[in-house]
Amino acid sequence: MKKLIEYTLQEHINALQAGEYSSVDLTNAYLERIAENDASVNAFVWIDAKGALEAAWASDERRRRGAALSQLDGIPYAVKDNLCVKGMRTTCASRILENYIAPYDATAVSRLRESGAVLLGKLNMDEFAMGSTGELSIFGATANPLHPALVSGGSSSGSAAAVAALEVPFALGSDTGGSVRQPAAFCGVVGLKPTYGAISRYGLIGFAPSFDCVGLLTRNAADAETVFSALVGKDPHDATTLDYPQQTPLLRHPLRIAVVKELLEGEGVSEEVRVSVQRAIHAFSKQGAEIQTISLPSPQIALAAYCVLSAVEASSNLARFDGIRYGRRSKNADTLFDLYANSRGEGFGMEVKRRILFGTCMLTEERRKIYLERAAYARNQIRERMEEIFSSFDLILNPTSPTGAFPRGSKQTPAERREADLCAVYANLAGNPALSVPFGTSAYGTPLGIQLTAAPCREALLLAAARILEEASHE
Amino acid sequence: MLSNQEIKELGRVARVSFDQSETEILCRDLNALLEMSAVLELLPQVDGSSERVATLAELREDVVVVAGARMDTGKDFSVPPVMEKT
Repeated sequence: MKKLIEYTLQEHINALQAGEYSSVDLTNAYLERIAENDASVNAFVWIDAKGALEAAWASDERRRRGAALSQLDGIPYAVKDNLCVKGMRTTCASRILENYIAPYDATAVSRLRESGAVLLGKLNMDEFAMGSTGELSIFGATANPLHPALVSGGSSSGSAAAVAALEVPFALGSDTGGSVRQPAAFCGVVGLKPTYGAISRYGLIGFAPSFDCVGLLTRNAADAETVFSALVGKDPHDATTLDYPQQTPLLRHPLRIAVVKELLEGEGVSEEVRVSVQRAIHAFSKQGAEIQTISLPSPQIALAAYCVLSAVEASSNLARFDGIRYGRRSKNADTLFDLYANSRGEGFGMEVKRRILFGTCMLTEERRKIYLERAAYARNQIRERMEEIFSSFDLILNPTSPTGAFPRGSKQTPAERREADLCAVYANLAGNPALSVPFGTSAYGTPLGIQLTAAPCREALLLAAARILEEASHE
Repeated sequence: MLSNQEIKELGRVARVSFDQSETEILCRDLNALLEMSAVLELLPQVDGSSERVATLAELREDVVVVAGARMDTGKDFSVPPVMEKT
């Protein structure tokens, strides 16, 4: 018989509706799981057991009165520590915000609160979402729950690990250059980066605002659909949110799927990943899909454009952390300039400093023309090419990451760490929705991920297609 | 290629302090990133005055993308003369 924590989100929803157990039972089960297991995973940085049990009790009361707020009423979850939760520490895993208490809820959090979901706490991450291994946090690295010697991936390391470790049925993360999808692939869960603007970024402490998306991590595609529907929609607090159109998840027959040649044949793509992609292609072919190989603008140009543009935005965006209005203030300052510089110098880790300085460098007169303007041009070209592809295809299929999860400490240089984002950045550059589904196994025995990308606002299609892969992966 | 002195100057502009060992690490890493970004030089130079390239960010007017790097603002974020000479 399955343990309570082994049930999927949908199973919990059905069970709560049927009265098989209560939200308090469920919340206690996850809190116990976290207490016994999380020391070895380090997914959580803050647990609000009291608040969670109060919310669970209130949910049970509503259900007794026949007044459940939504299907998520009473369901526990957790959020990445760059999403503001009123009255709770929100640190972005950075010393500069280590004692920052958010004065408001992020819209994603308030929508889940209004749905009756039960917030368990905050999850570990790479500092300011800058990283892809889960090793760059002031709270220490997050381990891969499936193989502790390997990375969990990042930057939504705690979000992916907590779902994979059965500590929560679902979690929220953020995806700027693959930070939901890649850790989802490494930890064997589903990770959805939605269309840019589909979910409000209000209350998401930003890294690169034109790339950042609130994303979600779940055990399967059906669960992702449920969570997405609770979060999506226009928000007056975030002018970049969309009037998201209603959709039916009907799959077109035959599905037309494009496979990106450069992401399959590239040097850094491991053989086991190539095999996994071939199996995924076969799974769709068996369902009658038409598969064709296509070309996208050079991955090296896409990666360079992403690195330059995101660093430039980070350089500007993180200027607000100056020790004045909030965050860490240095005690080692005789002048105002020293106060700024030392607060930031003491508060930021090396990767954050690296990206801020790189962005500042790209904003200099001499380098702006060489790199920044060309990066913006490349982004536009990629966006146009993606639009062109989706006029003829329903989905793009490629690996989520060129390799599976790798040993902790093995990617030391920025270039090595950036390579892990190679497959993911197109969706962020163009604003398309993309999802990682576990499919295949690495030589370490950990899952691999297949990434599906769709046209904007076609999350329903993505999730329906993901279920085909899920069924095939059980064969 | 960036020198340690240029790294320190970038730190001054960005208002981020770091010590000597960090300076060397940052110098090495930023030069590696510049090398990785060199592939962008394969693309045509964009003339901001005559060929206005719309980026995703420019399509979303409310998104603050880059302080001053919008092509139509005419803002100049030149680094002080010591940077331009090197």
